[in-house]
Amino acid sequence: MTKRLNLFAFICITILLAGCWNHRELTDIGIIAAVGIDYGQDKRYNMTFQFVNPKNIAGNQQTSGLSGPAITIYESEGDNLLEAARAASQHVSRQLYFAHTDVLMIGEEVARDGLTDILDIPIRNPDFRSTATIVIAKDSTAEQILKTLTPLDQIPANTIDKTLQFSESRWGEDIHLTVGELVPTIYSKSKQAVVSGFVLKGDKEKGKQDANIQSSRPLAPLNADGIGIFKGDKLITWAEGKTARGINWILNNIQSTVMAVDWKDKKDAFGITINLSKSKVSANVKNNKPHITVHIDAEGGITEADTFLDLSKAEELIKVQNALRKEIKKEIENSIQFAQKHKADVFGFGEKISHVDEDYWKKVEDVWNEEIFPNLEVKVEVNAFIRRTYLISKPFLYEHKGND
Amino acid sequence: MENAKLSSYQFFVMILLFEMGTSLVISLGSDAKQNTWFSILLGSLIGILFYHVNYKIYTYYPNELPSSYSKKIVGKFLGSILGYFYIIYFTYICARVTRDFGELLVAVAYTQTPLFIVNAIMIILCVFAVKKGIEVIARTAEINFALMYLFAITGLILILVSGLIELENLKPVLRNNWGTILRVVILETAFVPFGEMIAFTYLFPYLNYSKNGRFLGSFAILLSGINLSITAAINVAVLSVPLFENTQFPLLSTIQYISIGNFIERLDIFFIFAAFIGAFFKIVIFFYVAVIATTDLFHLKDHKKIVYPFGLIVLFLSQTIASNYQEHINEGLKFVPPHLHIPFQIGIPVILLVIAFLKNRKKEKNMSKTMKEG
Repeated sequence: MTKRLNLFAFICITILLAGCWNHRELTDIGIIAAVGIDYGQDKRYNMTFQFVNPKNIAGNQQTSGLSGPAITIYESEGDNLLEAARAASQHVSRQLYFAHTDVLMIGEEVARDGLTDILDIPIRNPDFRSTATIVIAKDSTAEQILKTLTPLDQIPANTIDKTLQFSESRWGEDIHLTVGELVPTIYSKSKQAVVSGFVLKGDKEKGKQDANIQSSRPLAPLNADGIGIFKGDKLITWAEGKTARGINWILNNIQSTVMAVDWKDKKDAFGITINLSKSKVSANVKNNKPHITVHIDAEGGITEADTFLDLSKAEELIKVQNALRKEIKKEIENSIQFAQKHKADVFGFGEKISHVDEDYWKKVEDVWNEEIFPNLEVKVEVNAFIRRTYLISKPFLYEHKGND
Repeated sequence: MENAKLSSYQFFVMILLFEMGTSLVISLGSDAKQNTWFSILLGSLIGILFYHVNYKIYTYYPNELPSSYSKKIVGKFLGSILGYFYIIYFTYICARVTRDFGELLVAVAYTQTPLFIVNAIMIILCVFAVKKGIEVIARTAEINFALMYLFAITGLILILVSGLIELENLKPVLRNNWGTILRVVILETAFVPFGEMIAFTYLFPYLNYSKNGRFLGSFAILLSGINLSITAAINVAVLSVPLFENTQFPLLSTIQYISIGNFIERLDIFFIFAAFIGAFFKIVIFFYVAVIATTDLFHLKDHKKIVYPFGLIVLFLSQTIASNYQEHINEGLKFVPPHLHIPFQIGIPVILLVIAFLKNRKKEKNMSKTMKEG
């Protein structure tokens, strides 16, 4: 009798322990690679979901006869994001699965009105990962960008994510930011948020079609472009090109980049690869007046020389090095001025001040961005070194050509 | 009381797992903001003090459970009432921890599963373990201790490698708001988890070299305090203060941030694992203590008979003590410490110690008197 009872209990527990209560079959879930958020027409939000289409991802070229694009786009509207996401059930045949979402794309219009309404759901929902990259669809809607097919990486979400990663670490004018990293800066008074933008260039209609990935030159390429400057939760302006890189210098986001240095009359005569860069911001408060010092350490080598200068001599190299230091300093100072003009402390100077003198910070935190930061004295120290000139010492080609 | 013996090592790992238990996963003492690590450390020192009070009483009445020696200290009637209240207290705390654990799993992983099912599975497991006795629980602890540390160390390495730690977030260090830090220590961290060591007073008699108890306990509390403190510091460093304060499960958020080369990520299982092991030992030890105290108080022959009814009581209590998670947590933070923890964890033991001390001094005096006379 006990044996039978034990067997019965055994079977019951096996059923429970398999954990099938919460099961979601692979064939019943739609894996979402990217989510886009815009304003809707009938309801407040329009969400765009970029579903991965597992059948059409390369690897099984044999079946390419029936292949379509690697992604499928669905859209749905709702007055809040949860409603919009669930409303998608009406036309998507699978359960929406957010655990593999890599990109959260936000339309510029929405970003200008504030991100607070949008950021609650990603951090509250256990499915959604805070490691997803956040991007703003510059001058367009998230929908337009997510619909674009991309050739090298078949899933556009991967394209966006990887482009930002590499352009941040190898070029320095963009910023690869996760939702988790963004959240603390959204409500902070001492540090304003910065988020990268993405633009769609070329023929926007063709971008949605297979033609975009079948022509050798993408008809509508996706471009990482500029850094969006936030004030509180609202996007206020864009920092582009060198200004954006200046911000990245201070935020210590640059791992490697290239600098161009003018020499005599020739513009951008030297191309210098920076391989190591480190920034340190220190603050102090004297007589109720805050001071900030930005210190940059950088190291690199000359990778291109388009003018004649005897680089085999150390003292000549030092001259180029000094020019490089000036160039970096100018870039950083420009971006500080830019941020000061827009009254948004994106560098977190306020944070540093609050760490050294909390009483002072308590007094000024409400007026920091408006009154104190725009007139803040910032000292920039650049300690850059040119360590080598790679395979050629003297640019001998120009020796014969002469400088022109 | 069961006929069982625990080795020093088993006792040590049981304390460690019990202390880290759910405290590792819930946001413990987060009101102290970036100084949470310190308030936990301070809490553990106070916890050691509490532990010594209990241990001191035990040295007067070796090899006896509190439910029996409280009768000797304050008389049969009052002692029995005390013992009875302690049973209720342990059962209630056991139900609270079960609820904590269930709510956590439902919020994080099993979003469609009813709370009842999650709790029921845990209680079935605990009923089984308690029925098998304390030695089995202790051996389970030995195995799980190794697993837990393996996971903890791997997790720590992964967090360090992914470069998530921003030491800036821990600044300013202990610069001000001492008031808040002390309030957190006095109202939270000293009692949960460190004051909960009161449960181990029922396990002292099982210790094979009971002389080691004082040192073992203090060391285990300190070590668990250090562990929890490091965890809190890492959570703050990764999440920044505002997020740390507002997230329900800081450790989970921290683990979700791990991403190494877009490949090693989504390691939530680390968190679930820690939560499972920790919660199991916390629940099972409270459960066992409640059962064994009842057995002792009512002079039952065997503790096994009352395990099932206790399982049902704990399971239904865990469902009914609160109607939603917020109510549950607020009760735990606002009501329980001043009304239950302070009297049960420190108030009653101190009174018992004072009376026991006076009684024993008298006895010793009498003894020496008779010795002299003799």
